[in-house]
Amino acid sequence: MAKKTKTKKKRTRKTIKKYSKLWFWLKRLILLGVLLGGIVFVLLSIYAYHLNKTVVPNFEGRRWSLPSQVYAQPQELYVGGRLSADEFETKLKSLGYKRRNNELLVGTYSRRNSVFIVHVRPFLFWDGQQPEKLLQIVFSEGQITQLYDINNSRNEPIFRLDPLLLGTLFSGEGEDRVLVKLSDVPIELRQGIVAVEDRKFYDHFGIDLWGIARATLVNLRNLSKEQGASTLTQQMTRSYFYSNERTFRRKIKEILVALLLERKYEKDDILETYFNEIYMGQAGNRAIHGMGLASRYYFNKPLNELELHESALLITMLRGPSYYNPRRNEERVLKRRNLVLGIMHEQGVIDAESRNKASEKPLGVSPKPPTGTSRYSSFLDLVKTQLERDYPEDELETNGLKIFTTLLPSLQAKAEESLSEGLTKIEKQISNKDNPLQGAMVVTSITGAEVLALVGGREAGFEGFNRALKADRPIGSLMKPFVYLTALENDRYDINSSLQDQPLALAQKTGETWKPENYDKSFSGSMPLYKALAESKNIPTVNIGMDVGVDKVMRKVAAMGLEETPPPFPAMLLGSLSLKPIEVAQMYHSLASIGYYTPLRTVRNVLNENGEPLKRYKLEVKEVSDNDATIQLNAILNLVTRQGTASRLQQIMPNRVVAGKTGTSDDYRDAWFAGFSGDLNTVVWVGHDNNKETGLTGSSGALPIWADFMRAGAQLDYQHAIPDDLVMTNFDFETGYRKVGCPDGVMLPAKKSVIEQESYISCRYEDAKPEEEERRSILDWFR
Amino acid sequence: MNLFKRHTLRLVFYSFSLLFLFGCANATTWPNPYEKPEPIVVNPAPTIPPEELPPEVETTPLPDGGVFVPEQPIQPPEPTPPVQADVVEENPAVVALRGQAMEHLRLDQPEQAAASIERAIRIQPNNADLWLDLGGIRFAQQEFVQAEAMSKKAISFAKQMRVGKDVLLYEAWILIANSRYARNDVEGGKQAEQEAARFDPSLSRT
Repeated sequence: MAKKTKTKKKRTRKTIKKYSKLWFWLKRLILLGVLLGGIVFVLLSIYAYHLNKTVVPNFEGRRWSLPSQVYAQPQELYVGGRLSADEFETKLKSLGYKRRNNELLVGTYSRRNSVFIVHVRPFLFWDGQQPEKLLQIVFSEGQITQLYDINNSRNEPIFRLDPLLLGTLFSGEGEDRVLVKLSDVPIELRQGIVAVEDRKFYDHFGIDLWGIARATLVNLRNLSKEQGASTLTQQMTRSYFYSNERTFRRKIKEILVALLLERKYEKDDILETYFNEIYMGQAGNRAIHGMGLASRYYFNKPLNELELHESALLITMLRGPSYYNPRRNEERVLKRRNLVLGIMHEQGVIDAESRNKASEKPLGVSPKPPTGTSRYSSFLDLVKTQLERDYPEDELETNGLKIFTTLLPSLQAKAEESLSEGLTKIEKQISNKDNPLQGAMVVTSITGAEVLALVGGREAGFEGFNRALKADRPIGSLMKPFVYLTALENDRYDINSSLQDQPLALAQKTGETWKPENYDKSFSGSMPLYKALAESKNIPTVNIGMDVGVDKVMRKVAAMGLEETPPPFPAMLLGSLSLKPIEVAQMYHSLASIGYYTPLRTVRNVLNENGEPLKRYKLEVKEVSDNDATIQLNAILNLVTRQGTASRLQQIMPNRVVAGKTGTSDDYRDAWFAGFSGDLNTVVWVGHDNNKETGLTGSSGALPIWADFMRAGAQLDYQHAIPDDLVMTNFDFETGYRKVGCPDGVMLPAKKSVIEQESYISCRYEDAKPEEEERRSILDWFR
Repeated sequence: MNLFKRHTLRLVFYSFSLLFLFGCANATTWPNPYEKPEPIVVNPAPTIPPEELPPEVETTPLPDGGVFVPEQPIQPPEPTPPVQADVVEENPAVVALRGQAMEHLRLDQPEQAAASIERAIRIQPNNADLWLDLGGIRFAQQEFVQAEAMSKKAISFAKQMRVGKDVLLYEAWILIANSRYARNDVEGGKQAEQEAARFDPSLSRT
């Protein structure tokens, strides 16, 4: 017995010795491992702590810098409103309303000839929430003849369509968003995303360990990195960091942030953030983040109106918005979309019938992506300028304000078209091919002084130099109406007062002599006031301006809409003053509104990000010229379009009543036309950016563009009741004598004292004299 | 609230409630914020089409709120009266907006009231009544310069009115007078009152 034990002991001791050595090193190794692990853990914890402080708070919805959203004017619907059925349908389509033959869900409409049924979306306006409504609208001869609320069985007196979103104000850092709540997300989209991308979303704690394990195995086996195992949380954080780095470091960061978020927030919060954060493609230099914006970009409608096949498409794109770009890779995308629909059915999100129906539908993306801000950049420039008076720039770009503007997209489109086509046409007729013409256009309403359209150059949507707002150009004859207005306010002058048209030399303070000339270098001796203005004669203008006082004229001009009073040099009477088209529009607006100044506005009101009303820009008027005198002046401006420098309007726009003035600067560098109808006030400028001569006059260069626009855009004729102090009088156009009982002549409003003018022309039978006495002037008869 | 404002507001509400007695539909005149309580002259306005019962058309509401499009357009029992929107006549949209404005004033929301009237002015820019409405609201907000300017605008459009012209001119000049008095322009106020007297409906004219 003893011997065995001894051998055993000997063997055991050897073994122990051998193993203890191993064990010695193993212990060291384990210790090292634990130490390293500990250090890594500590480092990760510190890193996690850092991320928790810096990155994680940004995931709270409030912390997103939301650029402010800018809306056009809403389309008002009321019986008698001027709108054709086709125009209405175009407007509906531009707002993303879809035509259907049955099932009129919100955001859809039906049409049978001129009868529409529209399910109008709800919208929060400045004056409160307008509820969604099912309306029957009937058109006839370019007007609305019926507006009927179907669900409440009553005629609706007035209703607004939701306004068009023009774009957002942001500094171009590349991000844009339309925030959505989880309740805005269609249920199939919500459940679909979980089913397709992260089945265990509601169960895991941020990362899916089994998923990672499985994916690693698959990748190792195939030596690829195909299989992803990212949870929705991880995808979202990846989207936030927005970089294609597939580095290990990035992955660690992603995982840590995902874990932290899951710890801090509820599942539904994370899901909502996911829907607002996930990267969905690129629009030029702007990244599209979030399903709200994606829905607008790809389908031109709000997220909550998406149908099943459209939701499935968005899910399809998650794996790679450019690889699965529905506008470029239709076949590939369609295939995967139907696969997605299959998975959704498998997972019980949708039934077989829905899946089949949706699979048969085309992708359904809108053909041209809405170009967002850039399309209306000229107008948005002005909006920003006006708002900056009340809101600092960084607030505008980050506080998610809702800004309601005065823009009328249909007029904007027409204005851009008229300018662009008009310039092309004119260029064909002049020989200078190397120096392209440029132009600008401003269109305002008359009553509210609202800017309805603004065109900064001939390339619509090009974010370049905004000539309408920034180009100072000599206005030339556009100044003349204000000279005559000042005169007409003076008792000494009436509409047919005789003005001298003789060679003129004025000694200037500088010692030089100024010798103004008429356009055609001729002198007529004398002419009536209205003719001098209608034919844009220089010398009578200088005479009358000097008589009433140049400084008085300049003060009048300033009162009608300039920030500074121009210096009282005689040359100013002929418009040696440079102004921007928007300033000219302001001045002519004061004429169009019969002597009432209202500052031009682009913003009606503003809501904050919670939908609470912030500011309303209210209508204010200020009387700046005598009502009677302005009515007389406008009558002359109408004469300009009948027998004056703009008489070609009689061919281009026959049977319309408008008023306006041509303007040509020295050496034919600038061509202007400023004029108005009963509802619109429009200014057009044409010239070269490098200030070279164009060879065009206001009449040949700017007027055709103005007319092309106004013919389609203006709906009301200029008209005004003649006040009691004036009387419509017939005049002989050439001489300015009153005409009595004559079939011809021009009718103009004159002061009542015109009756007291001794000389007049009579066509009455009883005034006709026998032959021998006709030698004497007819006028002698009444002496 | 100072005495003046309270006084004015009381009169606004007083005239308001009188107007209410005559019925909301007869809304041609505006509660006048002037000193002596005048009888409200009301021009008969065309009635807004009454509530209609749903006709027998197959509009089957869907659970989501959508509706099947009916075969024939739905015919309300009474046809909508034809209206020329730009003629200075009563227009259901303008009447409705003025009604909204009055409601806002009743709730002491003058700015919302002004917004409704501005909306109406966009529809009928030459409607003298609407400009006077706006003038009255500005007066109630103590913006006397604007009150006078709006009244003058109303006067400039008065000539186109077919009914109620003299009443409007009278009220407008009274509003101008009060706006001037409020700015301590006694001379101007008196002149305006003289103008108003030319149109005073209570004076007999030879």
